[in-house]
Amino acid sequence: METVERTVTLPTDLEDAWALITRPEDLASWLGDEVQLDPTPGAAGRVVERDGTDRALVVERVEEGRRLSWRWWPEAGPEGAASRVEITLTPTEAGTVVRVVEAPAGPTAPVASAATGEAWSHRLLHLEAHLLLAAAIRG
Amino acid sequence: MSPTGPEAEHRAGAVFEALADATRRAVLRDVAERGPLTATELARGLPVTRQAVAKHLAVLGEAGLVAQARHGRETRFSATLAPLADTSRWLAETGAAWDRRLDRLAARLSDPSRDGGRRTGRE
Repeated sequence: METVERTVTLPTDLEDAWALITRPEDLASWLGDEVQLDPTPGAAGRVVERDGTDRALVVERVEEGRRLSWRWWPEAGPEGAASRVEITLTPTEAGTVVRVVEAPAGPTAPVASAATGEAWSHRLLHLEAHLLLAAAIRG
Repeated sequence: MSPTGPEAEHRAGAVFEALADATRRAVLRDVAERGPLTATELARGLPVTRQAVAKHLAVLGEAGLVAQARHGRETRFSATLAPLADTSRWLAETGAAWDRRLDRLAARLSDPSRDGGRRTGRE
């Protein structure tokens, strides 16, 4: 039930933002040191980071100009260490909002659709429980 | 652990229910601080009966927050907090990684060697 979400607003238009998250020369400047990511559902790829972390990936959803998601896992990690990354672009007056969500995904986990209200409230419940427990343990 | 689906929702519900009761939180805190220990030992340190403690331990066990182990004729309880620690670590590391990536993504816009699109606002 753990989920990481980050958002940044880029002062550029939607088309340019889409290029930034899909063009090889752009991806290599921010996603990792070496990036092989073909924005096609089912395409296998790879991301090697500065610290040496080497991940294999499989692209899942591609909505041209709007949404890109993939599943990735460290090559040298345990089978269950896969997670799913979803990037969503939203145009606004200030530029394009880039929203990234990453959550663990087991090997047999289904592709997550956009979070429904119910799924989100359960995620919040779990986070609340986590915080309560941490506070309870600290005393 | 899968982050979505009915099984994960059940787990989250069990954890939430487990922590909703102040006495139960006190039981969990005692188990975490003084465990492993028996239900009788736990009851001695709390203003509740051994029966009540046993009930709370059952709920906490259901939620995966305590584990039990038999030592001869005794059953001892200990807190299983490792999954939560792992969760915290994953959240912190993954969050930090995305902070770095998105900083680089934003910086990429200002890269003079980049062939880009129309800009909005000031650079």
